[in-house]
Amino acid sequence: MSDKPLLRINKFISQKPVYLFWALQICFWSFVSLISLISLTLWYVQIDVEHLNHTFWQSVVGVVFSLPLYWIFMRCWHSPILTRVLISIASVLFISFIWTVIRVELYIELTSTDGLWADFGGWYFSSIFIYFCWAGFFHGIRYYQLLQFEHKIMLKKEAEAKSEQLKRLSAQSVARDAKIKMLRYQLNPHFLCNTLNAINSLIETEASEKAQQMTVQLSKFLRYSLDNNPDTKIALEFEIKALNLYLEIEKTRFGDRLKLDFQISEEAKSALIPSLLLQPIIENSMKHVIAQNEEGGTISLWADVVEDQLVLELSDTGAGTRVDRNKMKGKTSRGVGLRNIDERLKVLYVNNYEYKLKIGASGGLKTIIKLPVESIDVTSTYKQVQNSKVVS
Amino acid sequence: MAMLRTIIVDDEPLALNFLRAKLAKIPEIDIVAECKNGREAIEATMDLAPDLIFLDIQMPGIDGFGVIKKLQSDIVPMVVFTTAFEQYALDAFDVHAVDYILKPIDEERIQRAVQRALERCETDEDSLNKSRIISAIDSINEREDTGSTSTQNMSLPKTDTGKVERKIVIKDRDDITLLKQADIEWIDAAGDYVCLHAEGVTHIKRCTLKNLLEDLDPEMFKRVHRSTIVNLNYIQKVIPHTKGEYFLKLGEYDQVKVSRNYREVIKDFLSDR
Repeated sequence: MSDKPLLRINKFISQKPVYLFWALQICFWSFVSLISLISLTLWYVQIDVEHLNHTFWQSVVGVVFSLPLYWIFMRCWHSPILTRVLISIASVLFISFIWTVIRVELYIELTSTDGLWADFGGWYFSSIFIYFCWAGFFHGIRYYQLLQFEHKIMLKKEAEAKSEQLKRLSAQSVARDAKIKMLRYQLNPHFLCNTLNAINSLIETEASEKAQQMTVQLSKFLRYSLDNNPDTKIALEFEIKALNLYLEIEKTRFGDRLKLDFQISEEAKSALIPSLLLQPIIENSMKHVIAQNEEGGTISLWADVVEDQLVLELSDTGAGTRVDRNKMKGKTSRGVGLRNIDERLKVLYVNNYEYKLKIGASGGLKTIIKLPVESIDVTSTYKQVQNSKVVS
Repeated sequence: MAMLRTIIVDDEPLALNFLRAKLAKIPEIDIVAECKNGREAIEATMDLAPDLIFLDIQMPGIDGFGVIKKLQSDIVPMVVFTTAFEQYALDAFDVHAVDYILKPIDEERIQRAVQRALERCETDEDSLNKSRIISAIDSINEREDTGSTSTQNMSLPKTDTGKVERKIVIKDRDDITLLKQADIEWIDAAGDYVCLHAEGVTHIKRCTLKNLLEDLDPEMFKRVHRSTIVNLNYIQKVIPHTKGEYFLKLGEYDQVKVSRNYREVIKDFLSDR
């Protein structure tokens, strides 16, 4: 209860600098009056109206004379330090001199005492200290306030910079997510339509077991490819299981035109790669080799860990000899779909990877990817379990 | 009851099975051949002269469009394309009344296609088949290449000097090819278009056969069918066929049929050498 009015005063003062100035003035001069009362009036036992009056009025005059001092200090605030010190000292000496004259005169008038001018030096001495104190407080408080003000600005700037940086970071991460999502594998509608047509055919010819098998493979593959967390990394073993889902479907479609040759070392099986990274490469080979060749072709995958790097080599046997000029034109477009993989690797691994495409003599494409070896850590275990559920 | 002698073409065995199974249920259809790719489709069409062909677009080697381009317009049967997902192609087919069936194929669409074929068989002229498809292919090409102008309004360069070899201007999508007359193996007309076959590639040009003939060297090019012109220099083999018809083997892969009305041309050619 008791500090409530105090709080209110505090709040009121801090509204404007002028209020604070006058509050401090009142405090200072009241204190001067108090000291004067104790050390002079009470000490000399002069407790009467005249002496108390003098104690009060000398403070009032003191307040009045502090105002020109304030004005001078503010005027020379930005002057060179030596000029400021000299001006300040001179003005303190001058103002305290005038105040002392008025004080003495006031004392004489109020208490009708004579011969006081002989003690002027003593009076002046104390006056100088009072005004120096005032000047000291003034400068001290003002510098303190400036410091506070600057500190506040600095904090504000810092907070702004921080929030700005936060915004930028979140924008960057949004952009990155969008990019990586865009670069990620997307199911090819051709594949879906053709697969459904094949399933349709299996049902028509009453190969219901094969139709069921293909339906299950397709749905597993769909589920895997639709899980679109852009950062998912998965053990190569599971990525290959997912690839096999796709390839089994294609084998059913294309028959013996599709031949596979996979060689994966044990060490490479547990290494992590971005999920569905190899899918577009395989699909490219399907589109440009298996589907373009009357005799089909072979898709090979070789994977091993070499000098702390996971090395993946995917190759196909090319479109063969029966390539007319129109088909050769299409060859350049083969790179377009594969460029996305490079972009995606760049986002995920910055410069810590290698991605090379080589076109062989028969038009076959060889893709070499080298990634830093990462193995399953705790955070991705959950994901791993989920993915393995999907593909196994 | 009219029977449609039919060829089915698809590179996927399962898709072929499905078509066969479905078409077997339709009494008007008589499947005379099944082909796994464009090359086989061309051979079967030449040999068997079917009435109807179910043709997959995406195929190894020569794709569905390629088959039509390479076939002489006089012997192109009615065509039903089967395809998985070519939205732009489907629109073009709609505009030019080319029949097509979407994969996964449903029975109703097959029946509708056969019904249409039967109707067309009675009313239409055979020679329309290729021109329909060629104009569809042309508009697909235009769609894929929105930036540049179409093959229309391309005039032949007038080189009357005789010293400079005459060339045929072909505008294929974004590049312009100048085709030497000596390189052209054979030409066939398809409605408003002509197909120029040179070095294994088929170029489509928007102009009539009559206009083109004026620019061609009459010593080199001879008509062997109602709308087919052959460069005599490329004839490698003359194979007699039934009813006074001939097959001409041109270049490495191409074969052209000579109709009875034009057999004199071949006889002259043979006696000249």
